[in-house]
Amino acid sequence: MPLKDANIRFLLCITVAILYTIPVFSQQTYIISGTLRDGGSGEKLVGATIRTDKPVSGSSTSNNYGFYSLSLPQDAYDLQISYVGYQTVTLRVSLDSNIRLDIELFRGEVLNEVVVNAVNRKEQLETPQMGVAKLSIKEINQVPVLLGEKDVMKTIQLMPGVLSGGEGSSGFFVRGGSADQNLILLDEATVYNASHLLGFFSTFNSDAIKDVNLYKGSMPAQYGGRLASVLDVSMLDGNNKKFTAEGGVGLIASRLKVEGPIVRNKGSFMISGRRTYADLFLKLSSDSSVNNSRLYFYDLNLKANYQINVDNTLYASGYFGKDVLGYADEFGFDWGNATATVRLNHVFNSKLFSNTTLIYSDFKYNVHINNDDNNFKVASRIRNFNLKEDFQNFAGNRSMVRFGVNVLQQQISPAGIDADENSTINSLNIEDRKAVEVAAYVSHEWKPLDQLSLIYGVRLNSFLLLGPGTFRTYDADGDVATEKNYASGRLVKQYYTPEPRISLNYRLNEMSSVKAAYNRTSQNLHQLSNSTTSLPTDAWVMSSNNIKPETANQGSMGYYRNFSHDRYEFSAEVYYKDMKNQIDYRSGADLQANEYVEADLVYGRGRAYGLELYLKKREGRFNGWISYTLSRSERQFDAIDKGAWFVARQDRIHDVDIVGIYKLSSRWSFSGTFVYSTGNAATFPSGKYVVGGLTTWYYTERNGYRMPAYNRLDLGATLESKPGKKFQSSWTFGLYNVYNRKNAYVIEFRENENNANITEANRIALFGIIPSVTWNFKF
Amino acid sequence: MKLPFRSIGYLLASLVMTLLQSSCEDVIDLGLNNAAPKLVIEGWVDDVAGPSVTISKTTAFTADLSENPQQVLSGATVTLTDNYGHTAVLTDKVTPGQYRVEEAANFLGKPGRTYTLKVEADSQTYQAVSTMPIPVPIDSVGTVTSDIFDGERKGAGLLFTDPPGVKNQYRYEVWVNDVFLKTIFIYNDKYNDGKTITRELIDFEEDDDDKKIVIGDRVRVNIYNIDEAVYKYWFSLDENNPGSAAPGNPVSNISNGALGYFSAQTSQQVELIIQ
Repeated sequence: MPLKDANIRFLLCITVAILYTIPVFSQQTYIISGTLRDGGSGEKLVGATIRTDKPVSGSSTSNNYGFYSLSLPQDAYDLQISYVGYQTVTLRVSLDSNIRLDIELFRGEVLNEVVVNAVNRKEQLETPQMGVAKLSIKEINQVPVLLGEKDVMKTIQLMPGVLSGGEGSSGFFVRGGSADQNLILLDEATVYNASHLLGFFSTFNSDAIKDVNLYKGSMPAQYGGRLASVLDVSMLDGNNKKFTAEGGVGLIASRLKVEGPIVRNKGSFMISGRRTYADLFLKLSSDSSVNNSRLYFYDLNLKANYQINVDNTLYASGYFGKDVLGYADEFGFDWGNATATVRLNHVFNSKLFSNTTLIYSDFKYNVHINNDDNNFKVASRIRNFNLKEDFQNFAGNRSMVRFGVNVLQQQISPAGIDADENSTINSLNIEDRKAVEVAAYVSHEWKPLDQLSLIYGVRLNSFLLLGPGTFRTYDADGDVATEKNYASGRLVKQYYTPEPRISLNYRLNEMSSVKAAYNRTSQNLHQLSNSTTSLPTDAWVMSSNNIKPETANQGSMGYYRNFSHDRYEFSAEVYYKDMKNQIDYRSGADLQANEYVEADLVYGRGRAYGLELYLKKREGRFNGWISYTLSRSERQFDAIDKGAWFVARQDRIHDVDIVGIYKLSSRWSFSGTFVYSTGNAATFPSGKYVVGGLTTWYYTERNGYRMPAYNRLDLGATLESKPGKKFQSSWTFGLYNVYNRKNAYVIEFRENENNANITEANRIALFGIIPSVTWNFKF
Repeated sequence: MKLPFRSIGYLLASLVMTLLQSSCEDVIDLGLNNAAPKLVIEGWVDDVAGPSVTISKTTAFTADLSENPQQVLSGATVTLTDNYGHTAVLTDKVTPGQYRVEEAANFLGKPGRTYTLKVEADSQTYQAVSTMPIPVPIDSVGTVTSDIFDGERKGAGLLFTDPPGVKNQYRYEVWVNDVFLKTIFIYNDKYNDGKTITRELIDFEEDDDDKKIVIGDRVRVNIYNIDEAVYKYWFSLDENNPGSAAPGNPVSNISNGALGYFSAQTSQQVELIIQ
């Protein structure tokens, strides 16, 4: 790629020498460091590569804030800076002192309708990181989805090892783990409930998102707190060059995003909102029970950043979302998350980069009922304050150290009832629970040989459960054995979990590599749910004197290969995971507003193993991927089925996802998704009997049956307006479940309507074929 | 009071499905196993009629009960004792599988007493203990109406005051024009101990307009005060719904793995015409 002077601007007053070669007289080492950005919007580029023409000297990859650091002997170099979808830039640099070099890259020209995809092609062969699924916003926007609402969490389900949470659901299962074992982060803030409306839509409005990474295998040491995975979502910083707006009008929701500079080239903001309007149609109904109903959700994403000086950048971001459901004044129910993140990026010197982050996040729900003599409110909240200090030391081109500490204060206010004095309901208060989690980590990414690279490290986690409160122990029958009161701030219970993490990459040749990893994770926050659908009212509990931290050990191996000049990439990974202190419930457990809820819990272990295959064609008119997962996930509880192993509900033996995207012309593109999976494991009756005049089902084993296999085809088409105009618009058409397959959402066992002596299994399918259309604009 | 937690899930699901108007259903064959028959005991002793114990066995899911009725178990040894030393032997001389005392009036239950049921069948012994609660009187009866979300539904309303400071559990059986309503009505006073309550017995599960309760219908309600273990049986049976992650057999108070329950309960009956 030729040097394009016009495309390169150097920010701020940094002395950069772009001169002719200066002869080298010594072997003194100097450092080039700086920030890589998008030249059009000023957005920082994550994971861009900077390398030299000299084979010995190595390369650097920009971190989450666009920062890179490269140590080189004194010499003159051709620096090559490249990033997926951007034009590669080559710079002549003569190095005789430490220099600061901020570089802007520009989006690739569309040549013969083939998007220029630069170097990162070999990333999967080079990094020791394994078990990671990355999605670009471009891919997310091209995959057809239910009702045309682009959704990060539904698209991530098309990757190997990630199973859908159910029909139309944004929930997911990773490598045999349960849904509450995924840590979902938005700008580092925990999102406790990442879905709207029974899980059909995720809380992530894709307009506001910059980058999505899902770690399902070797979890980097800077992450902790959940057993199965980390879904790390970061928001766009906002355009610091010019004001732009984009939005869309869809079948169920409209979106609008505005971004622009606060101070040109120094600071920017981004505001993105989305609201559904199903309830606006409800108003049109003549039926008073419908037009008095409320049902909508909205999301608001905000972000601003300001570069105070060369070494300090301040970020603030927030998310606020809510679902509202109600009927006239009689009934109201709302729930939602709020997050706030304030972060200071500080560059100590050309090698040491730091991040100081203060985070708040909460999830709460409120119910109110006003009818006749039943006036009461129910409120529940979970929240945390989180202080993180992270350092990244670019010790050398073959060595990078991350270390940091993290102090998290978490509080659960379980659902309680607040009733009027003359209500027929009593007020009910369930004690709050408070805990502090302190974690420290260090990890070293090192490339001792050209063929060998590794990341090894450890995360030390301590969980401190604090008073005030009444803490009980229970006997085998679930009756209270001991009870003790603790004063505010008194330590009730503590747990320490050391979590070693290591992954290795051995490069077999230019086109292939093998990797192996081991890691340990732990979890001190647990969600109690006994339904197949995730509900906002599902209760949270912390580790306690009864509940021990869940822990998992995972070992994995993989083979990675690129084909045909890196146009195709293939990976195969196998894993085995054991899980301890898993939680289930006694039959008839009362999980709501129950101060003795821990008496209803039972504990056991789990194991999961599988094979994941992934083949991706990353460029060309026709691109896409195929992923296949062969897996098992099993549990064993002494209290269930006499201690026999049984398969977990999310155990699906086969899971296939095929995604194809075809660009017909500069204006038309088409996409299709096919998914197939073995049905969920389910508990069905193996007999029946009559008690109290009711036909009652006789169950013999947990999850001994299967739901029918699931399969579905979705198609999408996008028509772009003619290129070149300032105001750009597009139409997206979608067809969900093209062949109208009746995939079972639930199976209901019932007496035959006409003859109660006969019983039958009734399959209820949620979505038949559903068309959608969305109009998008941008200026 | 079931509200608010359990009803919210159904409410949300039904609302979303109504809005999307695209759910569909059909009957399918899942090829369910036919488990070895298991003993089922349903027994009660109450304060108005003699004790009753029914012993049977489970049948296949696909069995047609009109051709092949539930297998009753005849010839079991069934005894009932109370904590005052009274013992009664129940036999199934009249109807096989239905065990009764010879003179019902000789063994009426008394609130506050604890009863032990012992069944010997198929060379196994099964035992259960239940304590008859103090009955809670009904003050008045009337029609109640609910119109949240899916149109008007009518039902019987029972006004009563829950005794404060003690745990009370209630179960109701409802007949509409002498047809038994196959709905579980099970409550405790977790949310309204000591309050004056209008218990609304409305069948939210019936979707067929022709079968909904309407003005003029004659509704009869049997009111049972039950103990905590029997409440748990009905509560756990009611918890099983198509959306349960792991449905299971209801929690029985009978030993040795028998299905069913044994309840010492008080019984009242009220009747009304829906207005």
